[in-house]
Amino acid sequence: MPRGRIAGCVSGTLLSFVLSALAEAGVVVIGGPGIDVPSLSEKTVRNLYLGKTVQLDNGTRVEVIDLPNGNPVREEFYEKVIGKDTTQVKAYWAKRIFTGKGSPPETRLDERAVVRWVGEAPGRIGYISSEAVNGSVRVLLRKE
Amino acid sequence: MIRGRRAFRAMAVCAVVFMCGGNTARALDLGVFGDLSYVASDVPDDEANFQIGSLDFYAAQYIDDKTKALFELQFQTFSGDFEYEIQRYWVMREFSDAFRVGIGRFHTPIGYWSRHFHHGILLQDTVSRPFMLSFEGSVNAIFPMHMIGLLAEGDWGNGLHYEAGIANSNMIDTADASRLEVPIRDDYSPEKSFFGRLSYVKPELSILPGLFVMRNNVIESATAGGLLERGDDLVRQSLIGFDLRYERDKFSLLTEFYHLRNDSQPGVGDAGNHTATAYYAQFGYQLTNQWKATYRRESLDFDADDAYFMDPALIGRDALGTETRDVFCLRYDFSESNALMLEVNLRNPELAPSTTIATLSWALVLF
Repeated sequence: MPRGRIAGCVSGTLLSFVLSALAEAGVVVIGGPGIDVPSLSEKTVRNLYLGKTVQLDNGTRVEVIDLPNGNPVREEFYEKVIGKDTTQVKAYWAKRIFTGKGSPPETRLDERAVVRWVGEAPGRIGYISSEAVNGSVRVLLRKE
Repeated sequence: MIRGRRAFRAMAVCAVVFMCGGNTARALDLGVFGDLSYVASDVPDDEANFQIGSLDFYAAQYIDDKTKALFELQFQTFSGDFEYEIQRYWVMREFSDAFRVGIGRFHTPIGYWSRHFHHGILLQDTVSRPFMLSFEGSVNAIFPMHMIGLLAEGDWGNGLHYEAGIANSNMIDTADASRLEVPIRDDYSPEKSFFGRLSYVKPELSILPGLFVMRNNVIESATAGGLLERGDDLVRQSLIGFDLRYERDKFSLLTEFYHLRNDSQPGVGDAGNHTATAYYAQFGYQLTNQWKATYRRESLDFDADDAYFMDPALIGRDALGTETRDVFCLRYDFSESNALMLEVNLRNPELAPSTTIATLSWALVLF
């Protein structure tokens, strides 16, 4: 095997280790302007991401955003906060769509795009790894 | 002429309203619901056999940020032949939470079952539907389960949810002794059918009640040799009913009650008014995370001289009469996407011998 390809393999493996280590570092649910609650419960986040409600407990209407399939932060979020793996989530949405009870949240390409989307307009909620938080958004739930 | 102009103006206004708004399409969602079964019964000469059940393809998409469309095509075996039918095909525009309106082929908004479980056996707690909710084309099809027309629905904010539909009439070809049908295209009658359901939906409440009504004319569709001329009303129907879903801890209840009035028209039976009642009550108990036991009592009762049920040219229950059923089902969920169900269905028709049918079904969704 050529040395360049070996180096590529090693760096790819290292990168995936780093990414998964980052992902395992914790996931946070973030909110932008207009989310006037100090924090969110896991139950509320679960209901929002499973399409069971579009409102917070205080009646504020919100939109949520997702990361694409295959993203390690998404996998961690669904496992730790929603309590389902990604296959279960896909099956869940297949049933919801078929019965006309809604469709899954829209997705953004990566965490940076999620932070930008959440901070852009009022009433928006997303999730990212804890390392990706910046000043434009507020942490509403932290899951280590 | 004035009426024509008004209608044109109204259509133009509707068109403009429909054309205003969103333009963001979302991903096309595709899926398949299916089931594979082994069926045994005590019916003489009816051998136990493996069966390919229905195969139900659906595609749904927000084609812009306010317009949603769904298409559902079902393949199913009937008497050894594989047939296909468009079960649902509609497009719907969301104007607000309180008002969404669409056109196409929908499940009728009567009762809870049809609009929540549709054709997905995986979504039900039993293999079979309650027999009085059978789909058109079968001897047990009493009410139209599909409609082709306009459907409006919405939420009034305080938990009240409404669905209202106006649709083509349903037909029976009495010359061919056929069953209740919802034709894909033709409507030989100027009358339209009306459906409505009002329900109270609060996710945090254990009780979800609903009230529903229907006004429907069943039309003669025979070109020759039928009871009446094509397009004439055979039976004018009005229906009122309620449904209730209750879930608490491991216990669940789902029930629907139907009170149907059939006004047979001159030339059909005794041309009189008759009433019929139908209900089911389903009790479920979640034994563990994966096991669930369900029992359902089903009943259909009607006047013996109601031509809608007893005339062999109409629904054709003359060999069966009224009926009750007891359904027991044990369900094991492998995961969100597939489950194994063992159902025993005890059928007790008034005029035919009782039968017991056992079905082991593996229901699944591909996504």
